[in-house]
Amino acid sequence: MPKLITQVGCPYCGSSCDDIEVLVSDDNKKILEVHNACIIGTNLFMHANDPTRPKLPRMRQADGSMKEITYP
Amino acid sequence: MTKLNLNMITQRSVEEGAAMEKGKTNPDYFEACSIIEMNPEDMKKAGIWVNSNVKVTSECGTVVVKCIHATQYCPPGLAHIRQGVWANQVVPPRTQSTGTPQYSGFPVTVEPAFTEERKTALQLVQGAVGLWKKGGN
Repeated sequence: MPKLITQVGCPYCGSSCDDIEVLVSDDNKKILEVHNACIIGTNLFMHANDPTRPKLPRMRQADGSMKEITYP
Repeated sequence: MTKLNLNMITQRSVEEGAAMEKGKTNPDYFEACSIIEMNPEDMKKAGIWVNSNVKVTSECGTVVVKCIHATQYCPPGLAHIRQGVWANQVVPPRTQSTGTPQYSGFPVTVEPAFTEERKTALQLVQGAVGLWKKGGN
């Protein structure tokens, strides 16, 4: 059963919206819906689902490619 | 080819803000920011079609962007590129002691460039420092 989290604060602009509701999937891994936020705020929360989002710091290698590294 | 002398403003837009949250290499960000908004009269004067590419030149740079009719009020003589990588190619770096570059109100020339293509964000940013390799990082 998805969980509805209420009274979420938006970290984006200075309007300080604090009445946002976020619907989170069963396993707490995916954001399904965002209520009450503007288009920018909605995209901001939805970006957490983006599979291409970097989740670890990356270090440039000698050949110029990027490699994901762990936090120290 | 007619060259237009216009007053350029680069401003925030909600389309840019929404696309930015998806990522600056996202195609949505490319479509939201690599456009210039102009008054239809100006476009007629220079022989520019809607959705065709134009070359914008300021005192300190050049960028190729897509031309569309203004989505908000934009009188003849004014042009608008949304804040972003493409706008910053032509923004003069002078701050006039304000601490902020002159993002709005600088002169540009706009000319049709139907055969030229828009560059991607990575191509512009990495190209500016000589790091651009085809295909990205």
